[in-house]
Amino acid sequence: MNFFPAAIALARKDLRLFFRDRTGMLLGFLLPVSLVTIFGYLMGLMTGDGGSSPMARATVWVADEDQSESSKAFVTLLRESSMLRVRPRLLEDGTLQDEAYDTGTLRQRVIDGDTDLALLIGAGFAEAVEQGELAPLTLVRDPGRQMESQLARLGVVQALGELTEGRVFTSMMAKQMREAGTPEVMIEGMEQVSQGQYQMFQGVMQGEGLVVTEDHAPPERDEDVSYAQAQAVGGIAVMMVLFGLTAAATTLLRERDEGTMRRLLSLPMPPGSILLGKALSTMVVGMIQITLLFAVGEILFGIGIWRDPLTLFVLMLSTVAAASAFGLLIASWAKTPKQAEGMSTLIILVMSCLGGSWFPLQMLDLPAAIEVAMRMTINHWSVSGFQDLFWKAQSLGDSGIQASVGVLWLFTLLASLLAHRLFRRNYLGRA
Amino acid sequence: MIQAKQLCLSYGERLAVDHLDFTIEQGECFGLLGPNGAGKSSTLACLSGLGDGWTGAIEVQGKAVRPAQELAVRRGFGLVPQDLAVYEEMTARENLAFFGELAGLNSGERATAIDRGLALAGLEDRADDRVDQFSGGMKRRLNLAVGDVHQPPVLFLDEPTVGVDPQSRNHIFETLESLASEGRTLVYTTHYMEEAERLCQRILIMNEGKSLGCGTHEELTAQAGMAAASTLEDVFLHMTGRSLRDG
Repeated sequence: MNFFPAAIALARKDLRLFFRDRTGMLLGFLLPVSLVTIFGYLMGLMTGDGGSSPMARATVWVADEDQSESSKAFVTLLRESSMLRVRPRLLEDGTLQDEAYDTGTLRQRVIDGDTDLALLIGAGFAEAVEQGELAPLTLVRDPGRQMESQLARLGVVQALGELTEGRVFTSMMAKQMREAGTPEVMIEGMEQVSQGQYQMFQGVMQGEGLVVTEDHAPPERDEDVSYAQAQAVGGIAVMMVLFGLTAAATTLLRERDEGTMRRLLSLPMPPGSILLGKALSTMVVGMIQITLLFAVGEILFGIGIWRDPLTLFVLMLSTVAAASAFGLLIASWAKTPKQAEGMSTLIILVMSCLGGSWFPLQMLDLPAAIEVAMRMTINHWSVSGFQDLFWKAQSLGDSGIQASVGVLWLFTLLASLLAHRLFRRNYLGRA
Repeated sequence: MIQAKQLCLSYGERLAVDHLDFTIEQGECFGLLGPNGAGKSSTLACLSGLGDGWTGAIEVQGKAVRPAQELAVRRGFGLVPQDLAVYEEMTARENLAFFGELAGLNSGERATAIDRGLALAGLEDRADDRVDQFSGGMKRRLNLAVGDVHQPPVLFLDEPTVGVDPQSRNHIFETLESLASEGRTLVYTTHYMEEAERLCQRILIMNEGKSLGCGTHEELTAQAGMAAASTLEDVFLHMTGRSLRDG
């Protein structure tokens, strides 16, 4: 039998076996769908603003010893802050969901490690605010949580500024100026600039005044598309396709262990068609899997799969081809299923971590060596391609997507050639 | 006709096939008899072009065999491996159809081959049952039928009766006798004396990759220098020794 008809017959057989095991097939689809859903949802929650902002929130437990109208208004402002997640939680009916602690208990909880950040509002808060003095506020923290601590400080200052309409800044400056020996006459003039300072602070907090902000989102991009969620869907899809197709490709080892490979190799067909048949069947399974995952991404997170279906199809096919070639390379190299499982798990997890399947690493300032390692992964090129499509609203004509597609097919070619060489050595030689 | 000259195959340091010379005539049932680890399956792998790295020369039907040989050569033989080389999740009919297609049969030929294969395996009533529901004997019979699905002139059989019940074993014998009566060449490995004696016109006794003797029962007895009344088992044990073999 000729090369291609034999490969197609073999692929048909593999697909028949794949679809016949309905429980296995459903689990094979259910796991990636669950992961995409969970990761996408968590990324959306973690990054806030529907996932478009990389800013996280800090969880701060608050104890109000003052219990004045002023302190209550301050806590309300803290709750409205985009930087803070205030505890105890306030339910819609005005009741607290969690237990409210007094300042002593809350301090002890931080000391005991039960809470990372606590803001203690001391007695006399209202009076201090009224008189324009520094309010008795204490941030109790675990010093290891620097990022949350900085966020909490910013949130507290912002809320305090709003509560006192900027007078708190005058008080702080006056205190520092008195300590530095500034004449009282100059300090008295501070009140006149108080409002201006407050407005400046508000502007700085919103990125205005000091920096001019221009917004240029691609006009084709759907407004609902979230950067983090598009990254999560693309990243997890690539990782799960790698796992799924490697598992499918390692049925090559099963054929050898169960003896059917010996029979296949004795048949009048080119041995290479066995490898091509396996590649075709894994690619069909991979295309179904990745289509399903992006459909879930579209339904749950609106990642925008309908904007450019052709580019999406080319990127999916390129990803699936590279993943299939990777799977066949592992299957051709491994001498036992255990070796294949161990090696593929190790490589896929490392590639997924470096390539941005778990977290948008491109947001970080990475060392040059890690940047190079990142660019060696299937995940990086695939996830970049999907982000270029979904987030940057690029198409096949754009260089970013062309680079992704080109590198993925180059990987497919090199991995396939190596897999074929190993297949001939390990399978034909040991039949 | 199959001819092997100075056939050698090594796995690392170990010589699994050690300078074998033999000729198998067309239509003959030829046995490769030896204890575990004698090199029978390795010899069969070389003959069917599967093994790599062997040296010497092999000709099947006048065409030189080499690893990854031309399709034309492989069309001339079928292989019944020692393993149950069928897909357990597929039915008997699907297995025959699949291997028939890969063997190059067109759809019309395949339909005939499937019916013939099912009859050969005695599985007409279970044609559409999955193989994982079959007994060991049924799987062995199907294994044989699949190897013969394209009715090749030469059939290599690697211990095709391992682990089967007497009924299935008898069925396989009868099938092989029927194939031999059609003028097909059978090359049969076994370590069961009665199988070799019942089926094979000539037998090559092997041990540690080497040929210890080749011929009919009578010729082997003479080669061993034993009494004419000696059984094949006596001759075999005389030639291969009585020490235990662990593969």
